[in-house]
Amino acid sequence: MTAIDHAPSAAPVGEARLGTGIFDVDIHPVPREGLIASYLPDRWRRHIHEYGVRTTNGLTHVTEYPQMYGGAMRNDAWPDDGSYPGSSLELIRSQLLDPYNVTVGVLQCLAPGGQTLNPASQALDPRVADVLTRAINDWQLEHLVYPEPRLRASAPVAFEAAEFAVKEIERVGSNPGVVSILGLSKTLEPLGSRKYWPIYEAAVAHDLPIQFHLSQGGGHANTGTGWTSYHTEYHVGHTQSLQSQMLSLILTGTFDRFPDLKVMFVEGNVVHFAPLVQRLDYHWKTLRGEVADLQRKPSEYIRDHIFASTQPIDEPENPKHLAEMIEEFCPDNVVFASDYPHFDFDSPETVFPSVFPDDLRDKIMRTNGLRFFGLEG
Amino acid sequence: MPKYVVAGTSEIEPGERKIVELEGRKIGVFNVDGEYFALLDQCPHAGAALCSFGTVFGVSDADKPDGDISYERNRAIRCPWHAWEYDIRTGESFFDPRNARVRKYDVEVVPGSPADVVDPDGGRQKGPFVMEGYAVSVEDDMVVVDTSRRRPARGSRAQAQSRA
Repeated sequence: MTAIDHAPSAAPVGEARLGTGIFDVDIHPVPREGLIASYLPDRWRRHIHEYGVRTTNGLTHVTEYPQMYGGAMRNDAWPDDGSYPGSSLELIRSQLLDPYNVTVGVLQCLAPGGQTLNPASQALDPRVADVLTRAINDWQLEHLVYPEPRLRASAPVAFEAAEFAVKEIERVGSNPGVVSILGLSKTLEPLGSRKYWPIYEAAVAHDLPIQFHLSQGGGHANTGTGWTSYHTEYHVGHTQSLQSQMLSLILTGTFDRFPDLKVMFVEGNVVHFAPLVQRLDYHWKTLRGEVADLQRKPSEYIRDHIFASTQPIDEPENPKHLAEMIEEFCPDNVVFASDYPHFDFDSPETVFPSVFPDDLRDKIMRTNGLRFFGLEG
Repeated sequence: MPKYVVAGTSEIEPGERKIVELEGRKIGVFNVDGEYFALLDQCPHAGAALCSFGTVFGVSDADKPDGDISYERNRAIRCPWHAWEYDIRTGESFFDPRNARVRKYDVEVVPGSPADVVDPDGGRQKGPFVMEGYAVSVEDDMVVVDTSRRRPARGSRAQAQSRA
């Protein structure tokens, strides 16, 4: 094998300090070419080299086209040395952390290597998902979190194989560099399914919230009515998967079973959740006998349990409507996300229209994130 | 009418660009097939460094399906972030109303004149966003940028900013 320099595998991680800076809950790092392989046991390195990683979209090395054209990366985020956007800590610092004063940035690693949105945790062989997610967690701690105290890890786990996921949460969940568990919007079963409850139990036991990031795969067509004909249709329509996941988590009583569980839907917009929750309350009044065990009115679960990240920000014609829709959802549960280095990056300087209320901006940029991750500031 | 010498003509070859700082603002100066254009290095949409990292590309156009296609190279610039596209000569964004006709009966009065419309029969129209541009001249082998503002910004965002 090629010897690759490893960063130190254990280092002190200081408290996350927000200070006067801002929170960013969605930064996408990518391991340098070949780096993840160096973290794999020989047997699995050979297996992946020879057979690839078969995932819940039934393919290896192929993603839905064209959303990953050009890696879906910002044109200006390609390092000069020809490596991949998101693989250079220097660029993450100079293009994101420094210019915008991001003092807590949470990593959402959706690799292996460049295959964003087709992540390790969706490998159909749970042993492959396990070794890949372990490798990613070791890599992101050693190469990003230990050298850069402003960065924190969200830990991907083998979500479809709870016994592996729980072991990984026990392995890295107490590391102060890990601030959340990373799940995906597309799963084999709806997120309220009891097959996932052991993962929630382990997350809560380690005081970790779960971030569910937009993804492809999941073993189903990309909408509830089948495959889309157009990229535009896919891109606009993917919010429905997040909506289904929210309904499932609430109505299955998952939050009654785990009163300390907090989840965040990442890169799935915000405002579409508001009318959904209102409709849910409306129908629940008539149909609540079906879910008689539910302890609260559906919308009451939002504030304690369900967060959303801003990106990609909605841009209504009347800029005042953005704040109104966020207020309708829950002004205390929306947290800023940049999505660096992807092309649909939201800049903290221009993400909100000038008419956006200052106090709401401050909550979204700063205090809501502290509340979700349980950090002091 | 401040004018600044920013480069010698030999310094920006056709197809090249130079980013200069004038009065505290970054400006991209482009040599497009021997003609010079200057634009503010900031996308009107979300503030990306459009001139530093934008892709200059050609634009093809046709009056109707199966009609003759005209192609003009190096006509437009695409933003490195959200891929918004602007005419590199005028800084104006474009959109096609035939593919963006969302409200049939709305009528509004906007600043400008019918001459501003490229095709009054519903083809390509000028869009609502305009980048800030600067006059560029060549004097004795020197490229000169005039920072007198040529165009006010327009569009719903610009109006919202001015109301605030």
